[in-house]
Amino acid sequence: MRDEPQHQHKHHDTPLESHASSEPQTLADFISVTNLTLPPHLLNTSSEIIYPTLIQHFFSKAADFKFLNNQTVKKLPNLRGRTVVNLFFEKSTRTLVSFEIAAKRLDADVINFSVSRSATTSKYKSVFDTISTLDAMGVDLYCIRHPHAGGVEQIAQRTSAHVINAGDGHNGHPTQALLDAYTISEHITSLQTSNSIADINKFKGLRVSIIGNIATSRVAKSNIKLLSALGCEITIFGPNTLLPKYTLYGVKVARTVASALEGANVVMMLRVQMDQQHGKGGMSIPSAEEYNRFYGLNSNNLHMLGNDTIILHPGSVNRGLEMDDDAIAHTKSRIFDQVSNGVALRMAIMDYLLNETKQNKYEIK
Amino acid sequence: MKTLLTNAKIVTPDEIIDGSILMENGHITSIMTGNNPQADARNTYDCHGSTVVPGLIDMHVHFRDPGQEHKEDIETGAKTAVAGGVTTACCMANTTPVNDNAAITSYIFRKGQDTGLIDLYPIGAVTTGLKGHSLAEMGLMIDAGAVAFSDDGKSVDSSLMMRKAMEYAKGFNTTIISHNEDINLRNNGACHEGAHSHKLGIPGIPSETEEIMIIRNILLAKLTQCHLHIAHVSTATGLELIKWAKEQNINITCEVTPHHLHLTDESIKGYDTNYKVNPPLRESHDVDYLRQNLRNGLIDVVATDHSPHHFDEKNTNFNSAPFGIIGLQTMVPLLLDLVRGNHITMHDFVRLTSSKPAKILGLSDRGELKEGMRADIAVINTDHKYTYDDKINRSKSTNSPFMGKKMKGIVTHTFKNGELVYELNN
Repeated sequence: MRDEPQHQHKHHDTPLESHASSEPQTLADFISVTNLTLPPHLLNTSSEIIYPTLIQHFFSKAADFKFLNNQTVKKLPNLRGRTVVNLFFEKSTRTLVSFEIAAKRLDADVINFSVSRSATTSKYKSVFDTISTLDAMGVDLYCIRHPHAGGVEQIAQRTSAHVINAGDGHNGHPTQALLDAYTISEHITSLQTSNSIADINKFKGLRVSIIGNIATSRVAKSNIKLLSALGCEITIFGPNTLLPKYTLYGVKVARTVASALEGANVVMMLRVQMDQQHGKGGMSIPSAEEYNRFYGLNSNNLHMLGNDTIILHPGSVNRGLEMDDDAIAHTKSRIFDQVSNGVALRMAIMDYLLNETKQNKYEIK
Repeated sequence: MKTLLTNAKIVTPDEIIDGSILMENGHITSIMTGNNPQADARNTYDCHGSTVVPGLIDMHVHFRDPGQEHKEDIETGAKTAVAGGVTTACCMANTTPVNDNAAITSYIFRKGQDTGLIDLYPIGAVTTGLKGHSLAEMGLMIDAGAVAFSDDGKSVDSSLMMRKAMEYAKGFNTTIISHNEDINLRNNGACHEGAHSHKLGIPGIPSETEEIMIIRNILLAKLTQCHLHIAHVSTATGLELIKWAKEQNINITCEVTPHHLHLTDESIKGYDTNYKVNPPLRESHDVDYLRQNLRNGLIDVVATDHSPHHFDEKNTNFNSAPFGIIGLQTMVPLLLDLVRGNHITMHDFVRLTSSKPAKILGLSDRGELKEGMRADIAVINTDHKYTYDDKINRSKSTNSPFMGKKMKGIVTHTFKNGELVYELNN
């Protein structure tokens, strides 16, 4: 219904080639993670192809929108009259606020709809009926977080509105990966003034180390897919209990934190969720102290970072666990840039979906 | 300082040499055929034709220190060890408090060093308090001297927990040593379940109690690729499972105890609680099968599982007594018995008690008699006949089924880092 192939679009794009031909997945898979519902000629979910000029577009648009963060009046009319519903089936504060601010800065009408185990998802009520009900009220865009992998995609298949995946289970968190990539791009651009923010060639050969819970982290998975597709060399490290048993996309596994840090251009630390580690089999790590000692970024190993290396973290740092105070406060840390960039990048995606895909059913009809 | 042993039968990796062995600054500097008295050697020992082997490496002892020093402590444990020719030992984590953190590990390691007799390497707990619920701080314990990890005395009941433990251990390239016992199946068992337990009226422990956990742990080693060392294998089927796993190239090694190579459930005499051990003494076909697989390398290691218990604790009915027997001073005579019976050669003896344990523990400076190795040496009079009794026993505890039994073969001298740390008094 939604995807009408006859609609033409300005992004006539060629898919990115895999940088490692021995790895059949690469870039293509990123889309299965993004679930950004875009017209099929741009992003084909079945063939899982992402297009570089779309990323370039997001980056240059985000750079424009980021300017707004520092204005007294932080408002543009791009989404005036549009209805955006933030549908969160899992607790979130930071991501929810980021999506809400992004939509509001573009003047959309925003409804935040947080459901954990409420009336909407009880035994006798299907979540899909809830979506149909919301659809009937004229929603243009859903930003959905779901506790289970594939939960967002299932909803996207059943609504005519646009959907942005705000994180689904252990599967993916595409806007996080895009804002991380944007933050990396910003850093490289600051080093090479000739380089534009939208130039994605800068990612080729960049060494990115991702440290922490890789096996069940949607942030890690989306980043690995996107960054490896852009040509980065990815190294992962963490306790074996938190590493995937099967690595994809030519990812290398480091054996020690030192080997993960040395030579890295970007060090991405991931949040270790102590509270979610309790299961029938107990925790996957012994203690915060041991984690920080062997897998964390701390005052003992910060010196291993190169001069131009940056530190990223998707947010809600556990102080003293994956990063100690020195690491968080370090000049190489870009944690708060990531937060600012998150708003701008999400604005760019929303603007693109609702204004540039000509795919809004209300406009068509 | 130079020390010379002359007139010795030296078991080197390749051959048995009649000759002398020179130790200097804690290391073996030369092994010579014939007797070459060295004028400058400060100490010369005439071995009178005794056999010289590398100091034994016992991968499995309980020294009960800290917390249960009425049974044994690190000092008496070390004294018992050197009297058995053992110069390196690994002690299990079931102390009080449990060795599940770096502070206890460090205490054990340092106290071992302070004895000046042996190298004592702590084995850390896999899970805190040996409770099987959460991972212990393996990394920090490795930094404090731990060489492997085990909840010995208990299995890690949850397969998920054991998976996590093996995965986590693999990240540190360390070894998990498994105690293999399905605790629900054991129930209140006190000796091997068979005709003999029936006859005695003692609740039985079926072989499957051990075998179920052996195969579970093997399969988890396959899944995680962690090195698994299977402690105290006692049944034929258990060893068959290990054989299968080795054929699949699963990363495992295993050990048997001297008592499981010599005693059967039938040897339990008159409810003597010194025969109560875990795993229990099995049937004669099990003993035969274990013996048959010493030579071919299927069994990697012989370790004592030296488990002292105070006389008062064992001095009760069979069902209520604690499991465990001491073994440090009986390992050499019991293995020599297998040499005399042509079950193993002296080279197998050395492989099972020194070179393979050294390899498993990553101790590349010991385990063989050759130049450059650490001068850890045991001198054995293979013909000496005696009764293993209170006068010979150096442990605080006496819970051995061999107590009062006639033995043949004894350690007469033990050297640690080239220093004499034990000499048999006649």
